[in-house]
This record gives sequence, C-alpha cells and structure tokens, in this order.
Amino acid sequence: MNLISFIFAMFCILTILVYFVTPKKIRWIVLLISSLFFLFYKNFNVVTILQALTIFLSAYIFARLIEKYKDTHKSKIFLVISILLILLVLMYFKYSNLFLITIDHICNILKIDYDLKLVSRNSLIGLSYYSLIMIGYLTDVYRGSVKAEKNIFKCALFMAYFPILNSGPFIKFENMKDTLYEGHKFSYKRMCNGLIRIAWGAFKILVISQRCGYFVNTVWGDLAKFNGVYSIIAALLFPVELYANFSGSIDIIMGVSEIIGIGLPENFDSPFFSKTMTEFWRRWHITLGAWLRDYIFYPIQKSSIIQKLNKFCKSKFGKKVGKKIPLFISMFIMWLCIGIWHGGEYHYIIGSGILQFVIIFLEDTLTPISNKINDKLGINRETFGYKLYQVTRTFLLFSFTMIFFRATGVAEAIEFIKSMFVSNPWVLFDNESLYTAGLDMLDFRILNISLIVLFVIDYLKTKFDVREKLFSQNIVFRWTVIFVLLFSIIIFGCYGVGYNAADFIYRGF
Amino acid sequence: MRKYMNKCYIYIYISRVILFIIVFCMLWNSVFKILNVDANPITEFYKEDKNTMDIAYIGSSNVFMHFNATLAYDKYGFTTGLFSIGSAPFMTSKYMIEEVLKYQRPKLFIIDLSTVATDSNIVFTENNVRNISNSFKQSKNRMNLLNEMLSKLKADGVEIEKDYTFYYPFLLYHNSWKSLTHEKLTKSKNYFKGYYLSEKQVATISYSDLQWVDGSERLQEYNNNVLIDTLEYLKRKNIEVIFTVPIKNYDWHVKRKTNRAIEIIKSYGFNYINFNDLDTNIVDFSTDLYDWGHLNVYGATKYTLYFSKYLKENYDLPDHRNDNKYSSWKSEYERFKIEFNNLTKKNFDDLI
Repeated sequence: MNLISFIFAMFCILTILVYFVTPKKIRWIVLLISSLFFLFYKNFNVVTILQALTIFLSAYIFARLIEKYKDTHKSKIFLVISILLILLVLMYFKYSNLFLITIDHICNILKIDYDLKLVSRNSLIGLSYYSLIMIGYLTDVYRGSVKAEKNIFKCALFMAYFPILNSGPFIKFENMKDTLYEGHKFSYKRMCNGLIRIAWGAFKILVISQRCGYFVNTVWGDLAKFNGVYSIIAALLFPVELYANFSGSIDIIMGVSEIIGIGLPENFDSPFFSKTMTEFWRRWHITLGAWLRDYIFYPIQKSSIIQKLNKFCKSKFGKKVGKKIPLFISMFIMWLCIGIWHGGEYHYIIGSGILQFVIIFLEDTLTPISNKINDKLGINRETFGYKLYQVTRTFLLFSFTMIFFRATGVAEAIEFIKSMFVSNPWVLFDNESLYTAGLDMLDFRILNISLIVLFVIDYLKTKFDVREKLFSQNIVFRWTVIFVLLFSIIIFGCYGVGYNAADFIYRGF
Repeated sequence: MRKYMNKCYIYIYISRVILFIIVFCMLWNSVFKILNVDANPITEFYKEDKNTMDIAYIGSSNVFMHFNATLAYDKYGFTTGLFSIGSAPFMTSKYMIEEVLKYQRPKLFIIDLSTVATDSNIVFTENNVRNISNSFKQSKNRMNLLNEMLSKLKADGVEIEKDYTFYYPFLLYHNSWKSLTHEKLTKSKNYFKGYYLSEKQVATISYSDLQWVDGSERLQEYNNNVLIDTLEYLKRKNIEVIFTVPIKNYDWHVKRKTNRAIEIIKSYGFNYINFNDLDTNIVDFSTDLYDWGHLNVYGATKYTLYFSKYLKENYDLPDHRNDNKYSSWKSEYERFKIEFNNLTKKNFDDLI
C-alpha cells in the first residue's frame, strides 16, 4: 500500500475512527486487524502466510522457551535456533540473489561453467524490518531486559504494527509493550500535531524527492548524453532525494501513529548538518544504527574471540593502537551487515557498508593528525567557516558513497563516476542545457525554494520543537503556515497524470 | 464544572475543524478556478448575483460571440446570462439548463441549435469534454454530464485513460501553474457579461454559402434521440424556451438536418428563429463576419439589436435600467464601449 495514495488515506482514517470508537480495552485488537490487513494487502497467499507465520511463531514460541529455560544453556540454543530460522526466511526471500551472484563470481574465478539465473521471490512488505525487530525481541528476552509476551495476538501486533512496515523505524519491545496495547484517549492536540507531520512528510516526498528524482533518473538513464555537470548535480541531488523520500515516509507514519497515541522513535535528526560521517550515521536512520549497535556491534565486542584479540593486540601494538584493531573489526562486521541489509547486491554492500566503514575508519585515524596540522597552522576549528567546511565535506563524502547505492551494479557506479569527469561547465551558464534533464526552469526554482525550506526547518529542529513553536502562535499565523504547506503540496506536488505514483525508495529494503 | 469545561472544549475544537475545512474549501475553489480552466462565459456566469437574470441563453460559441448582453440591457433593460462554451454539443443543453436553474430563475431560455445536426465525432473530443465539464462547478449535475459525455466518447471508440481525471481535474491541472501568465489571469476582462468582443475579420463568406435550403434529411440517430430527450425534458419542466439557428456557414446536409430538427421542435410546440432564413439580412456578410461560423463585433451588434428588439416585443421582460442592483450591467456596457473604441478607433455610439 503506497503511503501517498487514496487507499492508504482511507485505511488510516478508518483505522483511527474505529480505534477511537471501540472500548479502550480492545483498541489494540483494532490495530492488530488493521495491521494484518496492511501486511497482506494484495499479497495474501500461501507463501506469504507461511513467511509471516514462520517468523512470528519462531519469535513467539522460542521467546517463551528462552524465558522458561532462562539461565540454562538451553536458552542460548533456543535463541540461536530462533534467530537462524528467522534469518533463513529473510535470506531465502530477500538475499537469494546475493548468494547466487557470489556463486557466479566464484565460478568465474575458478573458471567453472555456471548458468546464473536470478530469482524473484514474493516477499511481504516490511520483511526486513520485522525480521530484525523480532531478532531484537528474542535477544532482549534472552538478556532478560524484557519478559516474553504471553498473549499470542499481542505479540503478533508488536511484529506487524502497520506504520512501521513500510520503512521503519525499528522498534524495541521494551519501549512499545505498554503504549501499543494501551487504549489511548483521543487528543485534539495530538491529532493536529500528527496531521502537520503527515503534511510535512507529503511535502518532502511529493515536492522535493519526486522532483529530485526526475533529474537524477534522467541523468542515470542516459549517461552518454548527461555527463559532467549533469552527473555531479545528480550525484548531489540523490542523497537529498533519498533523505526527503525516506524521512518523508517516516514523517507520514509517525504522524499516523501520533494521532493514534503511539509514539515511535525518531529516525532522523537533521543528518545533513553532521560534521563527520560518524555523526552523520548517528543522525541518519537512527533506529537501524541503534539496532545494529545493540544486537551486532556490542555482542561482537563482548565475544570471547574479540576479547582475546583485544588482549593480543594490546600486548603486540600497545594500548592505544591495540584496542583499536578489534574495535575496527567489530565495526567492519557491523557495516557489512548494514550493507547486506540495504540490499542483496554488491553495490549496496559497497555503497552503504564498506565505503561508510572506510570513511569512518579514515576519519578516526586521520582526525588527530588533521587536528595537529590545524593547530600548527593556527586554524580555528570553532569558526562558522570551518564547521561549514566539515558539514560540506560530510555531505560530499556521503553523496559519493550513494553513487554505489543508486547504481544497479558496481560497473554502472564506476561508469557514473567516470562520467563526472567530462568537462562541460557551460551547462550551468547557457540558460537552457540544464533544463533538458527532466526538470525545467520552473521546476528548478520550486526545488530550490523547497530545499531552502527543508534545510531551514531541519536547522530549526536542532534548536527547538518546530511544531510546538507553531502551535504556540496565534491562529492566523498558524493557519497561514498550514495552508501554505497544504497548497504547496497540492499545486507543486508531483502526482496525478504525467507523474508516477510516489514510490518509497526505502520500502524495498 | 469540569464536565462543562470539557464540553466547551469539544465545541471549540469541532468549530475550529469545521472552520478550517470551510477556509480550505474556499481556497481550493479559488486556486483551482485559476488552474483548471481558462475564463469563459460559464465561469463568468457563476460570478453573477443570484436571481438577477431574465433570460438564459445557452449553447456554443455562437452565443457568446453573437449576443452582446450588455447592449441588450442598455437598449431594453433586461438581463441575459450567456451560459455557453465553444463547441458545446447539443446534449449539454439539458445540463446547462439544470445548472442555470441552480442560480437563476430566468423567464425565458434561448437554446442555440448550431450543433444540433453536427456529427457527434466533431464535437465529442477528449479536449472538448474536459473544457466543457471543467467549466461546470463540482456537483451531481456535472457528474451526470460527464457520465453521459464519457459514455458517448467511449461508444465512439475514443480511448480514454484515467477517467478519474475528468471527475477530479486537479489531478491533471494542478501542474498548470507553470503556464500561468498575465494574459490567462486577466482573460476574464475580455468578456462583457459573457459576450466575447472581437473586431477582427479573419474570413469572408459569400452570400450564396449562407443561403438556406429547403427540404430535410434524417438526423444522426444519436442527435435525434438527444433532441427528443431535451424536448421531453423541457416539456416536463414546463420551461419557456425559444430555439435559435445562428448565422453561420453550414454544410448543405447540416442545413437540411437542421430543418429536420426544426420540424421536430415545431411538433412539440416550441418557438424557434432561424436567423439564416429571415426575409431580410441582419448582417452585412462582407464586413460583419469574424470567420465562417461567427460574427465579429459589428455583426454581433446588429444581431443583438435585432434579436433583443424581438425579445422585448414578444416576451414580457422587465426593465432594470433604473435599479441600482443591476448597476454592474451599466458599468460593463461602458467598459465594453471603451474597449471597442480602443480596438477599432471608432465610436461605438455611432454604430447603433
């Protein structure tokens, strides 16, 4: 179900209406029914039912068993079995092609004849999300930080809560267990807040992301014609497209959840104002980062192999360098996981995994040296200019990594990078050429204005709660802002005839 | 006390929501009036005060290019609303009457017959259907009009994708902000109570082309059914009506088919005037035609003077010239004269 569609709007209105007219005690059942409808919408068949049931029952039954056999070695076995079962389903439906491509590559190296046939499997919406969420739940039960949910239907709701199925955020059972099943009271203020957030999300997707997409797709679609300046602009616009699209869809589902009364964790914190890549990833897809930290990075760090390696490295290379080696190994594994999670193909693994790790590794290694040089040269690192340089550097680095993310393969990404070196700077100055790549002059103007609005709001969000501030204003100002936002979406939004339905880039993951 | 306060808050919130929706709808209406459709006599018609029309003249471009309602008002004091749009098929008449009756209570309807005998594939095009339907306000009547026009288009074999954009035109036109120009925004200034002023003469037609013919031939089955349906509707509604065949260069077959339509109209007891078949020529064909099918301002002035005199003499029409409520008619007539004088460098008063 597309978030920007009539059917989704009707679905949400109906769910919210029924939720608030139902007795408080059974309101969570309304959410469960809606979530199951959303999960199986237009995809209700034996394969999808088995897919969902395997993950759900693995999580539900094994969580109970883990709790029952707590503090015995059995609980660890149950945890491993349950995680393997979930991963098996996830791998089979999402990452079969990665496996097949790897075999193909190995066969090529060994010069073995192998007929590569990629497969297309029918997976449910949100499979990657709820698989990891349930792995997190099982681990938390094993660690004893939460108790296993006894009610099978409540457990099902935690797994399939419809707002998170589209593009996250990742939720944790300990944060959701009370609010999810509580019958929330209707709140006028919450409704207004939620609607504003939905409108802001729609603005980001329809006015900004879709518009960027036209330019980016046109350039990527014909690199022989659109290269040089076109490729550079496309490379810079793609992260903005991705951000507007992803954070916009998060805004929509957060808005819907807010109206219901169920708060979800924030997934973005103005990431384009980050001064380093490490900071960037603390502010981009926050819940994925948190999930990986809690369930991949820390367990690896605490594992006996890493602990032994830590001791060994400290003794061999000294305390300072020695402790870094196991840390980077853990980080590498974590980034590899991020890359794999983003898509079962190598260009995703490189773009959103390995390259991110390399940049963070270089940042960590080179920052002390760079700081020393700056100090010696007397460069003040606290000035606006220096911070602007840091923010720009982070954005450019991220844009570069996203070339691999956007490409359909590693070869295409390299082709794109090469195309950036074609010299055609007149494109910027001859008044026409720039407007032949999917966006005309008026579209560019709208895009520029919208981007200014987006970044100003993002900046203000780092200072105060923008919605709270808006609601503290008088009604004339408040409504003017809201109407300007709504009519900007209606008039300048890219939807309807001549436009493709607003797709969500992150829904595929 | 607390319960009472809660109740008060609920009322405040509900009224806020209602007020918000009202303001939103008003803004929506204003925005899409500009974006959806260019100004035309129908959009101009909606601007008139309620129940201020004595006559409603409905039909195609032969209405708004032939009849200068401001001149008729200045001469005889009655008001005429021109609910017309270019290339309107005759089947739209019923829906136009329904639309007029929502806002006005005219004593008399004048129905233009210029497309009664036109082959349907000429007037039933996707663009035409959009143009006509977009000019109507959103209502059940508009939906019915669209349903009928779309089923006719489909029956004619026209492939239509995305039907919903006919019903919700903003999905198609919200992007038309790109083509907003000063001219488009001020186009309504070219209309004078629906009359479209043009002093040009882009084609001349010989007198022999305009001569009417005797005899009749069968109407296209669709046109025949539409005509009978419209006449039955008028009879059922007991509406006073006069049909007009405007001055126009018709094809020989169309003239004979129009004669057939007139025979059917007569059989229902309705009044009609064929302006091509009068004893005297109202207009000078060498100077008064805009093109093969329309009059320019010189022809329109003569036509209006002739027809409004006929209407005044044959129907009991009031004179509003001393009524302040109708002062806009006077000012529009003055605006028309100034525009005429500017365009032609002539004095309009010398013409009448």
